[in-house]
Amino acid sequence: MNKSTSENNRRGFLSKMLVAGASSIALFSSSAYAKGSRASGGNTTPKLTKEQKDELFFIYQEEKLARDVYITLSEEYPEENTFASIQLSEQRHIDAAQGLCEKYGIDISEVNEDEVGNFVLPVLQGYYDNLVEQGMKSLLDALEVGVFIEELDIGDLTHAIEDLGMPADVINVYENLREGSYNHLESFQGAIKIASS
Amino acid sequence: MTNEPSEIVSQYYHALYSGDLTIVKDLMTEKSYMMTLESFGLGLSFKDAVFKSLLKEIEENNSSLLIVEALLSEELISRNKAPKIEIIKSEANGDARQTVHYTEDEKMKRLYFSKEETGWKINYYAGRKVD
Repeated sequence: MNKSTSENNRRGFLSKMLVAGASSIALFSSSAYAKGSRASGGNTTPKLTKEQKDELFFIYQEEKLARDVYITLSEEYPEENTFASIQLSEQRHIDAAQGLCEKYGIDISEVNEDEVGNFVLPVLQGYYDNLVEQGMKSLLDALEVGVFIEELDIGDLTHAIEDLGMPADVINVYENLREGSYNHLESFQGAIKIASS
Repeated sequence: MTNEPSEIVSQYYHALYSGDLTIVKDLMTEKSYMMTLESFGLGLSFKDAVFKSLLKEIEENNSSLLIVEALLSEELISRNKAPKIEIIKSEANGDARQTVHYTEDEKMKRLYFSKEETGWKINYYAGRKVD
C-alpha cells in the first residue's frame, strides 16, 4: 500500500500551492539548469529503482508535451512573446530530462522528439489535443493553458523530488526544472493580467 | 481478470467511450486511472470551474472522485465516439511488462502494461525498456 500512498501524493503539492497562492514564487534565471548539470558530474552513478527509472522516462515525455503545446500556440498567437520564449526554455527542460535518462541508461529511442504534437502514449496525446483545442479559442484561453501545464509540471516534479527517494543529482536537476516552471507560471500569470486588462 | 494486454486495449476503448469508468478503472493501475480522468476531463474542466476544482482533488477526496467520474462518464458518452482499434503486435518487455502496438483510427498508438497481482493492467509508466 506504500506505493499507493506515494501515488496519491503526486499532486498534493499542487493543491497546497494553489491554496497558498503563487504570488510569492521567486524568479530564477536559466543558468539554474547549468547548475543541475554540474552537480551531477564526477561521482559514481547511483542505482535507481524500477519506479524511479519509470518516473525519469515519463517526465522526459511530459516535458515534450509542454514544449509541443507552446510551439503550436506560439504559431497561433505570434504576437504573444510568452509562448515563444518559454518554448525555448522547455527545450532546455527536455534536454535536461534527456540527460538524466542517458546517464541512468534509460532507452528513449522510441520517443521522437522532433515530431511536434505526436505522442505514442494516448494519455499524453489526450492532454495535447485538449490543451491545444482549448488554447485555440482565444489568447486568454491559451495563456490559461500555459498556467495549467506549468502547474501540472510543478506537481509531477514535486512528486518525483519528494516521494520517490531519488538520488541527489536527479533531485538537483528536477529542482532546477521546477524552478523554471515556477518562473514560467509567473510569466503566464503576468501575461494573463495584461491580456485581461 | 486474466485477459491478455491485446484484449484489454479494445476493452479499454469500448468502456471509455461507453462512459463505463468502473471497467476502465479495473483495467488500469490506480495512478494511470487518475491520469486518464485528468486527461479526458480537461475539456470539461476548462468549461466548468466547479468541475476543474473537483478534478484537482480526486486523489485526496473520494466524494470529489465520484462526482468527477459521474460527470465525465456523461461527457464521454456524449462524444459518441467509437474509434476503430486494430492491434498490430504485442511486445514483451521483460517478464512483467508488455507493450501493445495498435492503431486508433489509423493513427499509430501504444499502450503499456504491467503485470500486477490481479493480472495485466494498463500502466502509463511501464513504457521504459527494462534490461
